[in-house]
Amino acid sequence: MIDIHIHFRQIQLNKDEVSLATGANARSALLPEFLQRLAMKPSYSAFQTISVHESVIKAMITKYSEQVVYQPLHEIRHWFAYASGAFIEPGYPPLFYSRGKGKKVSPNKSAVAGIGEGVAGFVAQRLYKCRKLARPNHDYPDIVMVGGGKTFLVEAKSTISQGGTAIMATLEQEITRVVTYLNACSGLDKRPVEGLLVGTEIVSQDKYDVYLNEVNI
Amino acid sequence: MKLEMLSDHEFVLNSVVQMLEEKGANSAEEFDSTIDFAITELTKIHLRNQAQFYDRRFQEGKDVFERAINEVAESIQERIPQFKLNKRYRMSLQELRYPASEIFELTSELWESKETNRIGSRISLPPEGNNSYEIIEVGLTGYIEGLLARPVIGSAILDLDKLRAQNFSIKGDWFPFEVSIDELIFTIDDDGTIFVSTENFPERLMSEAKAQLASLVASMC
Repeated sequence: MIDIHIHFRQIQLNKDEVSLATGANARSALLPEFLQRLAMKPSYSAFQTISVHESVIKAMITKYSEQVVYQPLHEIRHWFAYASGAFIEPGYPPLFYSRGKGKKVSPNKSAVAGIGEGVAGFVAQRLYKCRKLARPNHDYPDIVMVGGGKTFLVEAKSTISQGGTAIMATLEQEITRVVTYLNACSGLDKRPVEGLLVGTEIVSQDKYDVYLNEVNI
Repeated sequence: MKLEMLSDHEFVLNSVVQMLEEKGANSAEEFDSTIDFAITELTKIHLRNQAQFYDRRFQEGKDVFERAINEVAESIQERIPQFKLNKRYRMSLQELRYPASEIFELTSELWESKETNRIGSRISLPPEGNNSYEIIEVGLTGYIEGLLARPVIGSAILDLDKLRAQNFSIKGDWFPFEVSIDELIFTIDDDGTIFVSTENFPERLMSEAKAQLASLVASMC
């Protein structure tokens, strides 16, 4: 079983803040001010924990991952076995070839991204009762979903836990991009559009921390 | 609770039609980003469907691509006769040229693999009520990694109360539902598919998974 701990934050932006975000997306000098405004919004709160079988996450990764990734959950288990030091024990690869000068051993990036996309789709389905309309190829956002007369633009980010708050910093930076695109779609589309920015931090093989940002303009 | 599960094709097509109707008289001329994504997705679904039923008349990838675009336009026109695929939507579809070539290259391989039983097969299940399903073995023959039950028509019914009354253990209050039967985990999703992972299953356990999957399909409506 995998425990998905969901932390939720709702971000409602006014016209000024949308302009600031749009500007910051093109001009980095505006970013600190936007981030300052963002810091004044409500922060994440623990929302819900969902325990789900690996097999369900596997199906969601097949459905939502942009890359063809083979057995991503096995990859992550393999990484955590390595990170736990187990590879020094008998029965594991002997390690003499993996690390060269200045080369850092890292988890499989495609597996991490695939899990992030699968979890984002899963969380959106379960919490918003929405359904996948499109999974754009090499495009933005990661998933387009619909439900309750609304369009949900879902963007996924993910990382392996390294004891910091890297995923939260990544999400903060990404919000300007979400807002910029949300603003464009609001002008083009008849239906209301909402942004879901979903960050997954893979804490261990059976625990994910999910930071869900619901963005409205 | 009874839920109707539409195939991806039906769901996306219905959504496009609804959104075009909501836009009203100018729907053919105005650009809408959600409709744009949906039309592209619908074309991808047509590309894959064509490839699964390999048509030897196709000489090049662009034949498959053009035919998929025309089929999508026609399927929308069947419901909205005045609909025309405008220039902006056609531009987005150009992004699919390369995936279309890849699909075209793989279709003859798929055909040959099916003829030589190199990949898992499809098993038709007897219809139950309004539900009609087939089981697809996912993976290479002898190394089946999962079983996927899929409606052969555009929709299927999921009666959760009926499943619970038959003592199926169901987790989740919306899709994907997690159903456990004798330690096997089945994932029922919103497109009507049911997936069970069978990695490294011995033959006996594989047969049991198939039987349980068929029994779940039969109990759903």
